[in-house]
Amino acid sequence: MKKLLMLLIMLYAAAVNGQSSFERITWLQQSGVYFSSDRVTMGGIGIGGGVQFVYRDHWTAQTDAYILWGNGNALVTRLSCGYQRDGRWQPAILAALNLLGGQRTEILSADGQRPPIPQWAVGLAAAPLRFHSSFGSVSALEFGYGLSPDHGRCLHFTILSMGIVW
Amino acid sequence: MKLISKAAIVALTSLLITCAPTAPDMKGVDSAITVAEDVVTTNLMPWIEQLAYVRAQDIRVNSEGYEAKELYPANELTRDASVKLVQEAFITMGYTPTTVVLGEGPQAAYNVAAEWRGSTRPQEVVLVAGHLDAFYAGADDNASAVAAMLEIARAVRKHRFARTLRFVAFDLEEFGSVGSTRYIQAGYADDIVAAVVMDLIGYASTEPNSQDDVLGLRLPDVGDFILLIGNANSSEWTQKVTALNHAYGLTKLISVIAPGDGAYFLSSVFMRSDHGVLWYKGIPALFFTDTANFRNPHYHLPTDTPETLDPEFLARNVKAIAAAAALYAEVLP
Repeated sequence: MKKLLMLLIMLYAAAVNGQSSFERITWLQQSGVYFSSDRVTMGGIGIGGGVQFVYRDHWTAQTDAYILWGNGNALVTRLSCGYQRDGRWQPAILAALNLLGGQRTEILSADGQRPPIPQWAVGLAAAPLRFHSSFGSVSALEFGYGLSPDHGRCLHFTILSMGIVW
Repeated sequence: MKLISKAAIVALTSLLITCAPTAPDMKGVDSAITVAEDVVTTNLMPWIEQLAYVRAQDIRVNSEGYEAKELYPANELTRDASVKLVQEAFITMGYTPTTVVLGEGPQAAYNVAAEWRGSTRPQEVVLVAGHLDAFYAGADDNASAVAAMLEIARAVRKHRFARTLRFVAFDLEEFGSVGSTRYIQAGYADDIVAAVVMDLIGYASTEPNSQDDVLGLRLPDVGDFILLIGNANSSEWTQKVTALNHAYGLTKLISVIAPGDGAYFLSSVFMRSDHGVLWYKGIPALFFTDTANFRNPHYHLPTDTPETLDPEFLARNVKAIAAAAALYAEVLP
């Protein structure tokens, strides 16, 4: 699992740093995450923002971060990279690494130790309703699913995100 | 931009590697366990049987304003006979109990309290509590906790503590933690520095699928453990009690820390007893439960009778709870 995680970070780094001729999009979004494992439950609904880099019209790497309310204040950062369709309608499929920190419900180990923070999950995300113009982008109903240690599951959805090209 | 990206990646990778869990401090554990060893487990079930017996003949509390529903038989609540039994039990042990009457009329709350005074910091009080009102016989809910409180009250008299131990049987919990809320509002909790609250601690099952998940928490599917719930204010104490329990093999314990004061959507189910009002007040409190209706099929039913309880499970839990209270009260040599 850790090798997969490191591979994802390296892919993301390669996508961001690979070429100089890429497009940048910054956006705001409404998102929700529910993370549940044998040790931790956290998540909620909240808002955040992100940056997307697009290379050669199809390859994309993005970073987003948001604050969630529902079980205290949780902070989620997501690094994703993947492939998207070119054109006005740009559905995308992404591999994602989710890092979750902040308040959570914890189950202690038998000897009283708290679970490590941040929790993390790797998985896939899909953006089926992502639209793009020369000014910006709009995306609705994105969803993702990730796995993490201790039988962890991470469900992610974005209700709406709106961004500008710069 | 490249520099920022690289820095972010290095920072996140470092974070993943460095945020390792920390082990709890074990100071005071060895002396706390001596209190657990003084719990006489055969004392517990007779208290529960007596409470079930007197409740059967008791008059019902006026339930005006509380609508009876399935699993909430508001018109079946009793408390008067339990108040009397707890008062007499404290007196028999050598305590001088006080009954704090809060509110007026037929829904006044009768909280019964007794103290074992601390030797070096008596002004700091550790509360040990459970509610005495019950629907029907209320063996698990909550004669199990009242019996535990009485037995711990008896056991601690062989020891000296730095802090005062106060035992309180709260009234009208089933009407929405009325007794404990009024107790706090009236200022009786101002000297409380920590609390152990129990609500249903005697039902267990080894059958598969006997345990349901609690909202916001993934639990084993066999209901043979006691759940200990703390919040941010009581997280270190929760860790320490868990470590103590593990070191001495007292009971099968699952420990949970709720976020913040516990009053969030996904953790709100953890607020369902008298500890909730203590959490709101910022008092570190531990809550012990067998998870109530998430496990016990007799919850709030006439079948919540003594024979449905697991005496050995209850006994193990009471030892762990006694140790938890002693740990905070600080046993003196």
